[in-house]
Amino acid sequence: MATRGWEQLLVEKFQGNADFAIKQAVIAGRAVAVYMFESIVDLPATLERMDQSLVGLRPDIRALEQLADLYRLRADPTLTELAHLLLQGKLVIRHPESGEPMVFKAEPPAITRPVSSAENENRIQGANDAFTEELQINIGLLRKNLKRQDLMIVKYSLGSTSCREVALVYLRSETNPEIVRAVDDRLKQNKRRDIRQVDDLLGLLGHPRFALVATYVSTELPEEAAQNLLDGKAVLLLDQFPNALAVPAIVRDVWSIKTDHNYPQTYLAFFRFIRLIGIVFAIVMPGLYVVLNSVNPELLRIQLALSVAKSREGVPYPAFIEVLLMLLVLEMVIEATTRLPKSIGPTITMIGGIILGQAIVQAKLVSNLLIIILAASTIANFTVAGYLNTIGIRIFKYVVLFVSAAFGILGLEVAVIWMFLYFAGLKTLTVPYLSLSVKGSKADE
Amino acid sequence: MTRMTRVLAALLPLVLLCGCWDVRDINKRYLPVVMGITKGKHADYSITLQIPSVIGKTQILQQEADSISKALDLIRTKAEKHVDLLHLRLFLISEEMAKSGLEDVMDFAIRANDISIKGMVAIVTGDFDKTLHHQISPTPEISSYDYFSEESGWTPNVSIVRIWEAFKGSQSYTEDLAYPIVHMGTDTLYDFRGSAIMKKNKMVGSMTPEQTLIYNIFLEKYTGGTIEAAKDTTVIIKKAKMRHHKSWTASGPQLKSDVYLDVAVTENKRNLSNRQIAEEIRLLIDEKGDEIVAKMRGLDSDFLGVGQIFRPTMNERQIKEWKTKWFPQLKFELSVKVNIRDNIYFKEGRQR
Repeated sequence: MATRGWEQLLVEKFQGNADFAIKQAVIAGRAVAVYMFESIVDLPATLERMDQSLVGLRPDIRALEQLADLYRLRADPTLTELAHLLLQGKLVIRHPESGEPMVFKAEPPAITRPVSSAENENRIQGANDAFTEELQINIGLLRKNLKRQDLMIVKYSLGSTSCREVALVYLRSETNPEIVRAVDDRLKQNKRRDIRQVDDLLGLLGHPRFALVATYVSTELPEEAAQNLLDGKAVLLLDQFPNALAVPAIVRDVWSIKTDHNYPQTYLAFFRFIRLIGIVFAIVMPGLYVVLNSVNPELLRIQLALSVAKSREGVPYPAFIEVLLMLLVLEMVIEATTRLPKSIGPTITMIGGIILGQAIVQAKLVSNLLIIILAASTIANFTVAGYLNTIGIRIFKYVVLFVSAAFGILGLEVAVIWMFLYFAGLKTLTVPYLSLSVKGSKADE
Repeated sequence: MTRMTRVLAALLPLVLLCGCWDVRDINKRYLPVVMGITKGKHADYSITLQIPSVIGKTQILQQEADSISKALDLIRTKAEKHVDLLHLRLFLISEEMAKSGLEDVMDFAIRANDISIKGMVAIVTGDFDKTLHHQISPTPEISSYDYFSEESGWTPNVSIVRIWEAFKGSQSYTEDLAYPIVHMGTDTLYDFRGSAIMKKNKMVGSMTPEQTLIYNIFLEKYTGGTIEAAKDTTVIIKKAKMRHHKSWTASGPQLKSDVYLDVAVTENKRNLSNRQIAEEIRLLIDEKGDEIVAKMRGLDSDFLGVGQIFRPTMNERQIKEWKTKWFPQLKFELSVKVNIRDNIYFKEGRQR
C-alpha cells in the first residue's frame, strides 16, 4: 500500500461515522495519530496498559516498534483488512517516521457481559457457568474446562461486507481428522461469505438446508461443549453468539446429555431410557389416537373402545381434525411462551391451562381423552435431550399424524420406518447420522 | 418440473388413494360384541346383535333374512350408526340351528373380512330369544364376552371354541369339536350346560359339565378347577399333563394315554390319606373317561382330536379315511396318575 494515502482512504471509507475517531496520543514519548472506533475501544485504558509495558524502556521510536511487536497483529495490511481490523476493535497507529499503519490490540470498553450462569439449559448437577457473547472469553472457558495439551483452536475471520470471527476448537487426539479437515476446508474456501446467523454458518459447512433433526448440538454450557469435544466432535464458537455448536450431531444426541455422566451409571441409564420412551410417545401418540379412534378401532380392547367412544360422544369433528386443532393450539401456546417477557409468561400458561384443561372439553369441542393424549405427548416431547431436537420431533409428529389418518396403523408404521430411512440417509461432515460415535474408531461408525 | 411440483405430485396419491373419507369415528359406530344366530320365523336366519354401552345398557338389533349378510345389511339400514363387526367376540347359535348344520355360519364368519376369527362360538339351549334379550344389571357392558374370557369369568368347566378352531374342526379329516352349551341363567347371564359334541358341522350329542371338565383335561386346557374326588373330599387340579403312546398294529390304531395330574387337597373331611385320595381321583377320572370314550364311539365323533395324534404317521389316504374307517377301529385306553402336591394342613394318619 502506498505510504501516503491510506489515512485518507480510511477517513473517506468511514466518513459520516460518528464513532470513528482520529486522535492524537503520546505513546513512548512520541506524539502519534491514532485511528479507532471510539465505541469499541477504550483508549485511555489502552494507553495506560501500553505505558505499563513500556516501564523501564527508553521512550523512543524503537520502544514503539517493540510495543508494536508485542501488540501488532499483522504487518502491512491492505485497506480492507485494515478496515476489518478497526471494526474488530483494534487500534491503528501511524508510524511516526515511515507513515506505515501499525495495528495494535486495544482494550475493549465494558460492553460485554460477564460470565454468568446458564439461563436456558438447566441442570441439577454440573458446572453452572455459561458461554457469553465474547469469543475470547468462550475459548477461555473451554480451555479452563479441558486442561489438555492437544486442545486446538483455529480462528477464522469470515465475511466480505461484515466481519465475523469463528473459532474451530477440537482435540487433536480425539476428534476424527476427517471432520476437522472438512470443517477447515469449508471455512477456508468460504472465507468471503458473510455470516450473520447460525444457519449461514451451517450452510457454509454444507449442512442440509431442510433437515428434520438438528445436524449440530447447540449448548451454552462449557462443560457440555467440553464433553462433546471429548466425544470426538468439533466445536465451533461464533463471535457474539453465546452458544457453542458441536458438529456433527448423531442420533445419540437425541437422548444423551453429556452432563448425565455426573450421575451414577444406573441413574444415567434410567434417564436415557425415559428419554427414549419419551421420543416414542411424542412421535406416535397423536397419530395413534387418530388410528384408534377412526381408522382401526378394532385394535382397542372392547372395554377401552367403549370408554373411548363415550368420551367422544357429542364431539362434532372427526378425530383427525380434532387432533390437528388441538395440536395447533398447543403449538401456539409453546411458541407464545418461548419469547414472552417473564412477567407475562404465567398469564399464557394460565389461560392455556384453562382452555386446554377444562373449557374445551366441557364445550364438547374435543374429547377429554384427547387432552390426556396431547398432554402426555407434549410432556414426552420435552424429555428429549437438546431443545433443537424437541423441535424436530414436534414437526415429525405431524407427518405421523397425517399418514396415520390416511392409512391407519399401517401408515403409522410406515411413517416411523420412513423416519429411520431418512436418518439412515443423513450424513453431515462425513459422519452418518445413525452412528453411535463420531470417533470413527470402529468399522460400523 | 421443479422439485416442489415433484414433491406435490408424490404427495397427491397419498390424498387420492387413501380412502380416508370413508373413515368413521369410533363414536359413530356400533360395536356389537355378541351375534346370535338362529332360525327365523319367516326366513332362514334371524340375526341378533348385542351392542354394549358404557352406561350399562345393552342395545339389541334384530333382523330376519334368508342369508346372514342380508340380515346384517338390513340391520345396517335401520341402524343410526355404522354397524361395525370388528369387535364381535361371541357367536351364540341356537341348538336347533346347530343340529341342522352350521356350514353357512362358519363360512360366513370366516369369509367376512371384518369379523375377527378369534371370536368364540357357543350353543344356546332353551329359549333363544329370551337368552339373547336377557339383561343382568350389575354386570352390564360386555358380560357375555367376559363369561368366556380367560382373563375374567372363564372356569375350566367351560369349553372354549374359537371361530377358527370351529372352522378347522368342521373341515378337518381328523378332528371334531365340542362347543360349549349355555342356557339363560337365573342370577347370572348364563348357566353352563355342558358341551355339544359336533360331527363335522352338525351337533350330534352333548356332554355334561363334569365330562367337559375331563375333556378339558384331555386337551390340556385345564388349570385351577375343582373336582369332588369322593364324598366330602375335594381337590383343585393345579396342573394337567397328557402323554400319548400311539401304535398302529394290524388291527388298527391303538392309543394309550396317561393323564398326569398335580392336585392340591382343599377339603378332606373324612381325613383320607393321600394314597386314598389319589385312588379316588383315579377312579373318578377313569369312570368319566370311559363315559367320554363311550360317547365318542357311540356318536362316532372324534371330538377328542385323537386323529390329530395319529396324523403324522398316516398317509394321505389314511387321513381321508380316518373318520370312516380307522376311528371306529381305534383302541383307546386312558390311565390316570395323580400326584398330590399339597395336602394343605391335612396331616396323613391323624385320627379325628
